[in-house]
Amino acid sequence: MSILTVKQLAKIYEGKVAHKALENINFSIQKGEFVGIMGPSGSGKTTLLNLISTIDQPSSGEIMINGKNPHRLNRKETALFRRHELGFVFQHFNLLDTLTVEENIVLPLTLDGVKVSEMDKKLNYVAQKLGIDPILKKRTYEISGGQMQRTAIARAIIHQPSLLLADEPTGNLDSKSAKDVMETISTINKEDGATALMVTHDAVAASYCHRVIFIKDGQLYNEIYRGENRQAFFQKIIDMLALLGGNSHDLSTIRL
Amino acid sequence: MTFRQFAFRNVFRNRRTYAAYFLSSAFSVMIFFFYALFIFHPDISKGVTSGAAIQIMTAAEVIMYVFSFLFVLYSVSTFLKSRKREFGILMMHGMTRKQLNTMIFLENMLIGVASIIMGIGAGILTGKLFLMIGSRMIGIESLPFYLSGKALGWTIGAFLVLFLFISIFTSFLVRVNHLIDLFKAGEKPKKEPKVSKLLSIFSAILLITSYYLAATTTLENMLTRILPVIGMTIIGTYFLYTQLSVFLTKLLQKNRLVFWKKTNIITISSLAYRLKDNARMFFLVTIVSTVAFCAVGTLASMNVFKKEFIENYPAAITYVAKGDDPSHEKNIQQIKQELKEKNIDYSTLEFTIKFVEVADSSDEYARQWLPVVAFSDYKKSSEMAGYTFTEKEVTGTKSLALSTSALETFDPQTYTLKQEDIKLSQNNKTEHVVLPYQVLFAEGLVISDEMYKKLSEVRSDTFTGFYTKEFEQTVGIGSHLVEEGAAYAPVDAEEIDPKKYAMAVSGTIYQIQINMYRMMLFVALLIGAVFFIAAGSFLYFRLYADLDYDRRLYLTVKKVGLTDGELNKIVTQQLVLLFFVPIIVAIIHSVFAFMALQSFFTVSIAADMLLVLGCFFIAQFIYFLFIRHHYLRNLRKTMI
Repeated sequence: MSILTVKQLAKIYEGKVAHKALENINFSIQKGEFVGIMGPSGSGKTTLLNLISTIDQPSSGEIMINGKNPHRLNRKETALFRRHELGFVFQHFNLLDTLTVEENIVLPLTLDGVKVSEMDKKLNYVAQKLGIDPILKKRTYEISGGQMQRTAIARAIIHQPSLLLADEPTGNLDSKSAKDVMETISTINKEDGATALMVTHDAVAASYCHRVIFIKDGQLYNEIYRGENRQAFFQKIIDMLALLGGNSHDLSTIRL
Repeated sequence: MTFRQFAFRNVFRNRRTYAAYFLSSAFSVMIFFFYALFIFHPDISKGVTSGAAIQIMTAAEVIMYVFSFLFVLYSVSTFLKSRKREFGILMMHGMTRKQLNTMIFLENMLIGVASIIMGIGAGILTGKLFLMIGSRMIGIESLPFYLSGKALGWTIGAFLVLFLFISIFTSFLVRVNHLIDLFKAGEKPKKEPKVSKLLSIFSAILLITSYYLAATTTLENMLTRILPVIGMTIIGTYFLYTQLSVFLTKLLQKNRLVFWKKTNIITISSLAYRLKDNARMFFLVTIVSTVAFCAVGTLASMNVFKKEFIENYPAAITYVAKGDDPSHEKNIQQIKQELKEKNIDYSTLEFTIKFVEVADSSDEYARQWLPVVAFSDYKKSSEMAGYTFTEKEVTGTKSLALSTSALETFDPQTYTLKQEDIKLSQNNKTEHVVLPYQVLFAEGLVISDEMYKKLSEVRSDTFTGFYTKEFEQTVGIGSHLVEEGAAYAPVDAEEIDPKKYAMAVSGTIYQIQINMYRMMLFVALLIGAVFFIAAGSFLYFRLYADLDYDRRLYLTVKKVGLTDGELNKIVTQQLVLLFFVPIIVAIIHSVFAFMALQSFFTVSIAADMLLVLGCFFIAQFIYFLFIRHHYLRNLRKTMI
């Protein structure tokens, strides 16, 4: 069953010079899949994610999430749709400074008016899974970047969304924290069957995905599947990036 | 965490941002409560001036309320603007529009209710002191502290309505068309501020014109000038900040010798942005401070008031008996008796005011009867009042207009009398006041002694002046003869007067007027304080809203290599700008306002005005030092 279907999607930024950020994008994601989107800077990755996450409006085309088109909903329904169907992880974490770690995590449930006992139950489950139970009472400025991102992930999955969206989740982290975070996403994907879509620059992060879609200049360029070996997948991604990075003959594709 | 807890924590943990707004609101509530305490005090109806006092206080309540309304509205909308990103995050997590409105409403009400409680709490604690000072000011017995339910109810009710209305209203101020705009708020590189040369020049012209008009105001054109000058100043000030100042900075940037010198490059380049960004805030602070300065300054001129008062009442007690009043002697004896009882040293002067019949006059308002006083009598009365007499004696048909107050003006006139068609020409006025206006409403003349002897009168009044140096002691004398210190002469001298005398007791009049002034000063001081604190809170908030941006800016500059000393210098310059530009502009505005005000007084008010402006300036300076200290510490926290 496909959770996300994107058909003929296009986004044009109007202005003094109209700019085609995305054009003719088609793909779909099955339930339980973990998909990465890669491409050079300015290729339209983040625009695509913004369209899927309902932050931005497409110029044409259709996005179906779990059988519903969020852009066809009215304001209130869109809000409820985000609340129930989507989870977000950002590069800059976007935690609220005024709240503690646990308060940040339960925020989607708070907005939904869930009972406090229910919130506690879900909080404990998620916190344990992500290994952040010792820091639950801390404020956001007291914890490390990796902990902040895991907090953000916990917030994104506590309400068991149909689709987890991540925008450069490792972009602001050191390699150790990045590894922790990717393993966390990977685990929830495996164990809880969460469907995830991630935009990234980082080949290591992308190698955790089942499939990576490449975009160049606003159009789909290619996609590659992982298979069994993550190391080999990583190499394939690197090759593809080298190819994408402009002139393919600049970098020779040496296989080790 | 329930939704309500969430809203509560949002406020409570952001208390540093809200601190100034909260304290300023609480202060407004407290002052409002003070006035209410006074107005609804059961003992207030005692005392001479309390009726007027209640009126002034009620007016003060209205001003406070309107101001609080604008203040809260402006503050809340600024807070909301700075929270766009936060709202974006919340909406990403599925907050509906309704929930956002509810959250904003709850937060505003929380701060509102807390400031009402805080304001009233502080008001109850210090209310006794306020009542003591207040009743001293208006010259009644000290009022005991009495917490009336009405005062409490009015204050709570008024401010609850205010916060409720603004909370509901401001929810609609947040416009969310596209979430992406919320996210990108603050990330976009700022556009270069645009200015219009035309509007800059327009602003300069407006300000210069209104300053010129204010400086050359006289008593006659005051009323026609006051509104246009205020309007022009307000518009001029607005464009001064939005256009002219940016325009001038841009000129400065073109001068590379200055612009590219040391830290100037940072200070001046951000100056244009800062001026444009803060233009509205600068404008508000300037206008609010100007109003505060002028209100306090105007009433602080009361020191001058005493000097002026003495000029208007040369005799401590003036008694004018009409015609041959049989009770004349009795009343004079009565006054003498009372003066003796009070142990006041005094001397008296008596002369006759003749009323002569007028046939024709160049003055269209002239009455049929004209009061005349002999020059020697005028001279004597001036000398009795303690003036060194230097005026030249009038001769022949020349005469002087009889001044009844120091501010009086005159036009040259001629009067043709019925008696032998004598033409009296008047082309000057007496230098000193002889008779206060209470006892002589009609135009009168001082004429030469020969002429005075020659003229036959239709009626003659007898003037008796009681002179003493301690005129303030005469308060209450002749209280059964006068009401509030004066028994007025009829407007028309020909009118048959039921009262056989006119009288003015300067001590009583002085006390009533001085109490009135004091009351107004007291009220103006408090309102001035409220305005001033509100202006401070605008500044405080502006600073914290920009803190993140500044941090990033200074961090970048520091990486390029900026010493601590240089950082301090830049920050201090920026803060000086923020704190003192609006205050200095306000002071300049006020100086010109006082120049216009000066035309009301014959004695200079410059010293008192300087004192008032100086006090405000010092208060602002202390506030500046305090904020600078905290701001630098805050900034350094994040620096390497």
